[in-house]
Amino acid sequence: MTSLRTAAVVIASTRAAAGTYEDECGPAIAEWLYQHGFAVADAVVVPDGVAVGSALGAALEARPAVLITSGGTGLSPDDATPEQTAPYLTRSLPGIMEAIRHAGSEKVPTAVLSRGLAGTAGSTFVINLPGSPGGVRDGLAVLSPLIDHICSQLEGHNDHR
Amino acid sequence: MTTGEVVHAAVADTPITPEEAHAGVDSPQCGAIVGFSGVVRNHDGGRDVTSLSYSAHPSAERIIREVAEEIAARHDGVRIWVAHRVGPLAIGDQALVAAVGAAHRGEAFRACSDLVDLVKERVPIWKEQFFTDGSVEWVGAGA
Repeated sequence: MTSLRTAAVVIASTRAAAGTYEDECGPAIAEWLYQHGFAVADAVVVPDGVAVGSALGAALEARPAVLITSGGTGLSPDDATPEQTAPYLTRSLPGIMEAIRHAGSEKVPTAVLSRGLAGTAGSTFVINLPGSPGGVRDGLAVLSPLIDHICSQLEGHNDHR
Repeated sequence: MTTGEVVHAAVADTPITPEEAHAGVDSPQCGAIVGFSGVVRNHDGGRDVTSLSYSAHPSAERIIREVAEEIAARHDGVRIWVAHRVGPLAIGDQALVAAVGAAHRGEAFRACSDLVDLVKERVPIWKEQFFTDGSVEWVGAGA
């Protein structure tokens, strides 16, 4: 019998954390995780900056299979999600972000400006998605055919399917 | 250790949603809420499914509650909401919805995972799947 895969979500948004803006990305990511069979923890909404690092550290303590962030990947002075994520990553998966930026840039040229990272922290797959609903949608579309395989490999299953 | 609380455990013949599960367990003492939502898929074992129907043994309502109470006893201070649908369901409908509230995320993850595993293992509910090729098959809901 296999146990459920678990997932945590961190939303980096100074406006959403202050309550002046209704976050749409958290529910969209949770819905996608549900569809892929994960047990999903409530999204944690934090302001951009060091709070993102604290939220990532707290989320990783529970050792989820997947940790998805949204927001803080751009070039504004406050955008610091990749810098806050990098110290936790033990291995990087640059190909995933290249694919996501490529998929997005076919519709929105600025998609290539997303500095998000993907990688692993222990046995957790970690990915920084952009903060826009469209960017989240494009990122999740790239992940859909990959997520099961990523989790299987991190669980130590070596089946080459 | 404080035994957890079963807020809701039922077999439902009307739609169930992750939102009601979440609202059910939400409380000031919960630092984390973890949800699960088993959705009817449009394929199974490589074949296309058009619809399905769940049937429950009369003991299912009692057993889903026993399962929830067992999980509540195993995990400190959790709050549990779980429901399994019966009757005809369409693609995309929620078949099994659960939410667990706990002081910490790790406990909520473990309890939710345990809960879903045990519901699938013990609760006597079967599904009848209708495929696009006209064939029909009965399987245990845990399969």
